[in-house]
Amino acid sequence: MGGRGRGRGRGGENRSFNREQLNALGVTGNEPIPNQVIEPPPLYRMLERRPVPLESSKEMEYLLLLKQDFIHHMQLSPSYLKMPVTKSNEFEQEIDKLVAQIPTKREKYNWNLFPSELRPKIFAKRTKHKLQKAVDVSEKLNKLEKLEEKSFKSDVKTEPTTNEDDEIIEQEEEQDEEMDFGTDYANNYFDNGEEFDDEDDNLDDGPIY
Amino acid sequence: MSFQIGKLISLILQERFGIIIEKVGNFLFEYGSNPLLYIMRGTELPLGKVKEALCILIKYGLVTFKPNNNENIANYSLCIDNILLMTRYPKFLNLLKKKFGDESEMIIEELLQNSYLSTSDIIVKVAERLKCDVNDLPNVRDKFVSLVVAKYIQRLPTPNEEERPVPILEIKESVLFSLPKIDMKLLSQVYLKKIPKEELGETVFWIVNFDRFHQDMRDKYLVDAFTKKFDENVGEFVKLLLQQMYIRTDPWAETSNPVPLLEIKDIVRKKVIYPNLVTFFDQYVTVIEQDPSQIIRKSGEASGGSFQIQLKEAYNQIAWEIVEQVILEKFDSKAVRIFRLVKLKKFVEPDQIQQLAMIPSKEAKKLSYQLLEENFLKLQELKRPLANNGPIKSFTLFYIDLESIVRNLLELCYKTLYNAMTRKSHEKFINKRIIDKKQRVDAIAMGIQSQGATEEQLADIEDMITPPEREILGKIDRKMKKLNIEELEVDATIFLLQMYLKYQ
Repeated sequence: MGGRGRGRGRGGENRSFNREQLNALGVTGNEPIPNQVIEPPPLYRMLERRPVPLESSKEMEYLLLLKQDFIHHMQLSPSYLKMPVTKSNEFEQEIDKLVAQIPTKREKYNWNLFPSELRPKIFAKRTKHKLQKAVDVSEKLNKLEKLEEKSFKSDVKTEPTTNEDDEIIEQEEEQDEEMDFGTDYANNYFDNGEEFDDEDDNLDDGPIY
Repeated sequence: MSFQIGKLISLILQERFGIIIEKVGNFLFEYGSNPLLYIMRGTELPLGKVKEALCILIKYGLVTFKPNNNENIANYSLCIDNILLMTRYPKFLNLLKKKFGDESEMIIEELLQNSYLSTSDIIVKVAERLKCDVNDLPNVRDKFVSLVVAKYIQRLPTPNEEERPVPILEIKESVLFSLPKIDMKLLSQVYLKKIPKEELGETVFWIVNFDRFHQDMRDKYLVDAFTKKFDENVGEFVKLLLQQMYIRTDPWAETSNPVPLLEIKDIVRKKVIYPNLVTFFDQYVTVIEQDPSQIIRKSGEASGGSFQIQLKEAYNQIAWEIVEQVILEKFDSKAVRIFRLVKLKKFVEPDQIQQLAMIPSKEAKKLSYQLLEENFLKLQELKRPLANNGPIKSFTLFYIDLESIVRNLLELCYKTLYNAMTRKSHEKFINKRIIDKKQRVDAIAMGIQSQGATEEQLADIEDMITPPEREILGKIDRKMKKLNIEELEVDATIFLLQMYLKYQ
């Protein structure tokens, strides 16, 4: 009573507390204050009504079969792209390893119908660089051998260091070149192909479609 | 396009094309049309994989491209509708099987699986599947030709004359369904593997014309509706009416041109399957004419009368019916009564609802507010001052906006599809070990069976799966089947709702 009177006197309002305020004060209402707010609402609400069971007919069975067939076909076709295997997603089960060994054949496209930028052409460049490097190394080894045989001690000391320098610089150049088309992340992916370089020489002639 | 569709198409892509393509699809959905390098950056995939993914998506018609301002590169964008269509493929195949038989179904199946094929590819592949003789090749060819003539298959757009880094694909409408010459001699040589197929030098490729299938599905649902409402004979009548409609009307017209009754009568007489329809033809016609739905209306008396079929009206009514069914399942029959009342009166005051629907005041209020909350009803407020500075009297009126309800329901359907598919992959995930085991056992059994193993050995291998495991497998199977059926059924609803929107 006192509170109400004071409120009226101060604010000059002719209205008293509204319902919520009274409720909050605990003055009125026998209803308990809802206290469920503390816990989050259930993830799945209770179903109010049970859904009608689905009818299965012969036609539906056939449709199901067609659906499964199509999905299986797509999953086995070359169109089903898999992530390249990395250490983070190595196979847990033996069977997965076996499955991965099935050679994935690449699709053949009619390239007239696609933008030319989509054609894969990384193969050729890669192989060229590797070959150049190999030649350089053997030449250098020869040089070193000759130097060792002919030169004096002091020369022997100086020469290899310069050679090493050369090599470092060249390696850097090599890396730079790779960085130029390093935007091609695919390089990483094709790393596996390095061992086959010798056989793939003919790829240098141009991109393969 | 909504957030919900985005989640759905990502699942559809994942199920059919794997994670990489799903990523690319997601990126394109979220950011719209984008060039190659942006896609690569956004998806953080290796360039080679992005290229491959785009090639596959373009091949299946799920991504289109247009030259950028810089003509050397292209902008890629996603065709959301075509991705959603992938859930409808089984229905297309079933439709064709019923209408034209197995060979035609196989032709379409090959096309759906490979997206586009040349003439020889189609014929040779189907013939190989049928394991038929060289002399049977013309049979398959005829099936193929009839599918092209009936417009189920159309030509793939080809790049126009000039060579460009980004080809512009287009095709003239006049050649869309024109057949090239098929050299059967060379083709049979290819079939016998005497010459490689490259020697044919084909430049024409074929794709499936989904629009034609949608026409068929539209007709099928109408015929089904009439069959359910009356009987098979009426269904047959409607079927013939629709069939005759194609001769004189554009397939997507809202109302067909008048079809003479005599024409239908003649066809019915030639068909022996429906004797009742012949004997009671006039009675059937009267029944259809008097049907309150007014989908088939008499348009004239000349030459024994002619009839029009109101396709727009038909799908309008189907949409209403679907909405009412949804309300029935969600809020029960009293809510439907309120909904129908609002439909009838167009605009209704809340007080009137209680009186007219004969539902107690409290319940009527509760139900109508529930309907309002879920956007089945809409609220319009009218304010009118009684006197200049007197109190303002305001009316609140309920009304229905069918189009917005239909769009909401479509969203709901997409959500349902998404939920079903998520559940499916979740079940697969938690039971991965046991499913894998089953697959391995099956593979081994197949292997030794082909080597000619005895029944005992086979039984031994079968026993590797213990009875409890077998029980679990059965449970998973049933669950999967249920969810898969649900997907197909929801797609049927989606189709009907889309038809309504198409005619709008």
